[in-house]
Amino acid sequence: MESDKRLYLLGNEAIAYSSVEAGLEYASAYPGTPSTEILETLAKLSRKYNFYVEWSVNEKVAFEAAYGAAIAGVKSLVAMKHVGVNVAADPLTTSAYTGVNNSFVIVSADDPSMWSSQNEQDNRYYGLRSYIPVLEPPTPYHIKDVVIEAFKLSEKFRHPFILRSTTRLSHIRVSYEFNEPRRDIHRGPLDIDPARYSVIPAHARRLRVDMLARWSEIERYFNDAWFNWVEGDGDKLIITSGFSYSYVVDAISKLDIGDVKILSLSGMVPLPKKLVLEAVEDVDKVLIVEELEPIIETHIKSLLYDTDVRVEVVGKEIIPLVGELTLDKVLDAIAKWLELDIKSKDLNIDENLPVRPPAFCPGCPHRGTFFSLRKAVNRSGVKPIYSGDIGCYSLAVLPPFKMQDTIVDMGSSIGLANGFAHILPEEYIVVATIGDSTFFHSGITPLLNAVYNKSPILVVILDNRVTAMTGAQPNPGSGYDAGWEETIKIDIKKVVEGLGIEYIAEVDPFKIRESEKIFRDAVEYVRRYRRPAVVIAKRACTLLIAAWARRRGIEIPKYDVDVDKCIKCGICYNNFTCPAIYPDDEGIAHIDPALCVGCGECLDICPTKAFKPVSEWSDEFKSLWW
Amino acid sequence: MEYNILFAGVGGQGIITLGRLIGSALTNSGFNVLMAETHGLSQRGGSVTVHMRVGDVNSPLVPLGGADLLVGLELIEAVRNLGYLSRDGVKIVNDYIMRPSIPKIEIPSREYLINKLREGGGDTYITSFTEYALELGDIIYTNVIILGVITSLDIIPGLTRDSVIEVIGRLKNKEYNLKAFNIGYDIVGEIKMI
Repeated sequence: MESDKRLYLLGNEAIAYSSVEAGLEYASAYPGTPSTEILETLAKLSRKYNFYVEWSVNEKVAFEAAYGAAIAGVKSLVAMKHVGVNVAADPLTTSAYTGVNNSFVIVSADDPSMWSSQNEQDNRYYGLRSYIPVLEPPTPYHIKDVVIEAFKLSEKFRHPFILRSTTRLSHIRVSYEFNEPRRDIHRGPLDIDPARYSVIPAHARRLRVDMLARWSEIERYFNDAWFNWVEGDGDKLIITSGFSYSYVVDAISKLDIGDVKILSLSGMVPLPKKLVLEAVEDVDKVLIVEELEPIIETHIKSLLYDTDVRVEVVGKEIIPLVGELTLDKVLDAIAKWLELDIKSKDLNIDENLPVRPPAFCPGCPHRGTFFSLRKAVNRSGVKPIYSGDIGCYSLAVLPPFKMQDTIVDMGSSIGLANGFAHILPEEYIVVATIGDSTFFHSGITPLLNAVYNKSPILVVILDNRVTAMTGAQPNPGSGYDAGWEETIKIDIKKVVEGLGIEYIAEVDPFKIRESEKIFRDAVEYVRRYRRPAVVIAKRACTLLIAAWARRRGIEIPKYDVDVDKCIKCGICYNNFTCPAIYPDDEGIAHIDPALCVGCGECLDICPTKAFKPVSEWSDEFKSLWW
Repeated sequence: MEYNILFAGVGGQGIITLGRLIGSALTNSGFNVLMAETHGLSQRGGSVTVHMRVGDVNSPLVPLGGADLLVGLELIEAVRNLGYLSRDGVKIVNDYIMRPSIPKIEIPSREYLINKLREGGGDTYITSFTEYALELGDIIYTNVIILGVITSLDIIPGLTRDSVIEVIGRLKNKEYNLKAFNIGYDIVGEIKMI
């Protein structure tokens, strides 16, 4: 859509383009909102600019792969969402001890307000507690400069750097000027020094001392770096961390409050103490604006105490601890700080409006799987505990399904099920539901544990061939690599067999009746033999298949309702809730042809067989499902 | 200069693509434009908004009561976000209701929602753009028709007919998209709510 010179890019795309300009040679990631588009974009650029990219199996592996590449002497990047860093925390912590032989940039995309996440952890803490410096662009216009700086400084100090982004920065769209990079690809050094990279205790004790020395050097550098600056004048000072600067400058221009001094810290970990002390000289009061945790606030308060500087400092007393910052919140806080008479605003949503939470897409195979699974479990006369997991299928937590009693972290469906299974009385059945990508990420080890410890659980692997929630990225089961080139396809059934599972079945989620029977048999097996069983529900993500069909001009089949047969029972729109099916004022079901994707799941759920195909599946359409 | 737009709709309606078309047209003309998008979980058929800010701005979100224009791709979602609209802000709303996929959900009547639109902001332009799109052969053209309306109103600083036609020309299905754009461009006079 854009002209050649100026691109209009998503923040994550800008991070990717900037990395290429910085000379990136190796990139790995595991998809997770809001980080996914970084590696997706790099995958598209990798051939032209001759660097390596991969979707790794999880964040720990992605981290180690990029870390290894940086030890081997190339400029590398790893990208993940904030909670992904927890998975990678083990190598991350020690990477600061060893350092690297070139640039190693760790992109952490945090999710304040938890738009797509289970918590809103602030990963500046990872930098602080691991001695890894943190850079965060102060505005969308600084993305390129800060990314390139992260690569430069990482190379200069031979030390990992965290580039922190947030949902709003990763998913902002902004103009970007791309400069063709000079590519001098090199392969790493021939010697990797074991005294530095084999972290046995004797080496580690010395490495820790070296690391602390580097940390002091980096702090000194941050005091004078271009990305930490003071602007404006006056006796009132606002200190900002990273992206919160953008809200503060916009708020100040709206408030018309005269002179305010701003200290903008885009490199805030380690805290540039000298710069902070200079900035607070001659001011009467200080406001610290940072999203989420009081990280610089805590350090600045302690610094001022230690240096005996007396000045009023306000932070989390008026800056919300919960949720992302907005211009409105920052306006309110500054008004409060300066005792201005400004009324805070509210969206005041009309109470008569229905909520609209996300739902399974029309034709989503998960809807069929949960529908038949619920029927099977209910008819078995057992009490279910549904141990859920992270992916599109988390949406089964909502009505009408309510089949995710727990969702904690990647792979926790099987992990927690191990605990439930040995504690709950026998009238219960523990059902773990996990997607294909999540299974590869963190489901294999807890399933092995279930076999070894004979945990009586039913594990349902919802295999839709891709990592769907984040926009359909290929994974080890897809048969495609990050650039959608064919590669080895891992058969989940064989993996499960290899782990020692003795009862394995497969279902087609579109065939509701058949699936229900197979699920019932599996429940019976778990109850009788007190061993784990696995059912693989296999159907590609319909959203992806429909998109492919449209792109290739293949007709998408449609279904319709024979209204004379409809008895207004509401099963299709109240219990099955396909978004393509809706009731008219009298309760008769209809199908919206604009939404129907012809999955045919409705055929099996209607007691009077009122649904009928308008057009059959063509051979071409059939061939898209893999 | 600062001009704020809030787009409201349902995940899957193509709200981001509509925003991108406007953002690209403005970027190509040398204007500064920031657009905050919703990705991931919230996209699956849930309520979605896109915030667009044109001019001398640094931060991504439209302040409450600060939108000069509200573009609603669906009636319920348009009403839900009226609080973003400034006192004389313009509304362009698709007269189209999508029932949330929730068991036994009750939704307000079309009349109720349209009356709500009368309460806030300035001029309102409303019609079923979806029907126009279906006449063209696919619901997918809805947003380009709306883009025609926006362009014709000449309310976004820097958004010219030529700049929009240039970005539409780079889309697949160029011919039909241009037809859709012209439909929107030409119906403005007929769809102003009185």
